[in-house]
Amino acid sequence: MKIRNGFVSNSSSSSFCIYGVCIDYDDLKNVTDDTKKFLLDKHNEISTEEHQKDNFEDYFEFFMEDEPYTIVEDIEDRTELSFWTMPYTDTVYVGISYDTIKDEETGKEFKERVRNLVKELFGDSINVNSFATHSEVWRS
Amino acid sequence: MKIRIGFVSNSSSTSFCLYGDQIDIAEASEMIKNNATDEIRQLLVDKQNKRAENSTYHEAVANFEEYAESQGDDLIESVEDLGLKIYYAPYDDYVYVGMPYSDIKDDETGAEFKARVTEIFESLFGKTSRLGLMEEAWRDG
Repeated sequence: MKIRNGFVSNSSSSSFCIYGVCIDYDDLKNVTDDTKKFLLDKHNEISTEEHQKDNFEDYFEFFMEDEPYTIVEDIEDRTELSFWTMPYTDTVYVGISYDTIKDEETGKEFKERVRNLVKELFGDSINVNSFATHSEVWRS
Repeated sequence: MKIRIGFVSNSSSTSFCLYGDQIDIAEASEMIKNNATDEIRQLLVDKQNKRAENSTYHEAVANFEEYAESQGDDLIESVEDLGLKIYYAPYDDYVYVGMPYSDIKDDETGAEFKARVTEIFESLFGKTSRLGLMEEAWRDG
């Protein structure tokens, strides 16, 4: 039995339980060429002329310096995957929450769906053995 | 995208994401005594007697009534003998009971998982239509 002593109310805390992978911000540069083009085009479309970037590497370096979570936000527009970033670390969790398993989907199919979506985004740069169940608690 | 600002370290916190229900602690024991099926009663007695064989800390019981009496208000913790999890909500009068979504089997669909949890739950607490997603974050200490 697990007894919880102390309680953080819902208004100031949250949690997740996903199947997916845990990567560093720096790993985001390994997205597929299609995704790099998507990110660059999106950035240039909404940026003022002075902030336009010529290539993905410039875009990546620009945001990695101060606002790496912007890259995550941009990537999320291209996928069904969810991303959770951890303050004070370089860690990013990528996956899908278990509670979204569809009624007609098996546990195996759910995990395959997540792995395929990650592959769509990152190609073969993510080791298939790194997929696992991840659970974290956060205080806002 | 969800960005979390602020972080409670793993050493002092945990969370759960269950398919299950909240149960009033004051009513839990009576619910089990009144609704547990014969099969579940025997299963709980057998598990208790198995523990008694392996540990002097536990005492063997002759039947479910004796088992329930020996457990008192802790009878609710019998859910763990059935594969369910229990989480106590400090400062509240209820517990969360259910099965973590991550326990879904590879060959089981989402619907079958919910049906499995419902069957176990109802075999102990009786018929219910209240089962659903239970998700909370906690800080220990």
